[in-house]
Amino acid sequence: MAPEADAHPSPDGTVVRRILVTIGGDARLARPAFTRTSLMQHRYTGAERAMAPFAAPQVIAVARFQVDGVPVTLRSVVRRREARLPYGYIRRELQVLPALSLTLRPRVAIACRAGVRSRHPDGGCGRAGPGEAGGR
Amino acid sequence: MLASRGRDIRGHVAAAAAAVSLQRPVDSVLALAAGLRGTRDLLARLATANDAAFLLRMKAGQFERALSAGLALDLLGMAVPPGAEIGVAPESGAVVPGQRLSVDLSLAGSGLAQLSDVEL
Repeated sequence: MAPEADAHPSPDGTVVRRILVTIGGDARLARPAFTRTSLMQHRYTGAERAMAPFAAPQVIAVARFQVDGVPVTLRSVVRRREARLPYGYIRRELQVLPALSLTLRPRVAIACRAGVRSRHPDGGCGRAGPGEAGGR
Repeated sequence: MLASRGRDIRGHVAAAAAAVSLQRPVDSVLALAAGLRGTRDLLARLATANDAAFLLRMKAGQFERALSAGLALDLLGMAVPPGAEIGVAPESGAVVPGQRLSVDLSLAGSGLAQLSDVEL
């Protein structure tokens, strides 16, 4: 993490700063808090260590300051903007996702036992991040 | 020692509760800061695995959150593409391991004047 600009107060007193961050190669990826391997599995498996009903955020902003000489730490989830036109932007939690992705369409298919007809799903793979690429 | 220090912390909590008001929540800040200081002093005297230490760590976190609320602080971290102009609001998507991005940090609130040594 390298600072692009020093922290400074804006005209309204807000302390602002921009930092340059590189997501670590071993960063924990965003996962659902509960998973199951198939629709037939009746129980979910908790992915979080503390069995929290939500996934822990991957990227966190930290502010340290003193109040009456006592050090205080304040944390907040880093978010990103997503356009929701014409209403403006919504803020979503910044997620760290795998660089490689695989998509299948349709995601779920129901096959009748009698008269099975073969149907090939449409698949594709993509690579996100620096040097994006894709394939089928 | 544990009981007397615990009573001190409880006294700070009571003082903060007596001082706080919807009109001036910042009035509770000094009592909360004293409570946080007392909690950390007591924590430093206990073994890490002690049950009381576990509860005191939770109490320290509660004091920090109460201080943030009393000071009406709002910490915002917003991911933006590297090189984006400051002051504009660009969109950004999810990131992947190894990717570089900029994060705009801002600490706002009506109680900023009470803070010192701010570090983002």
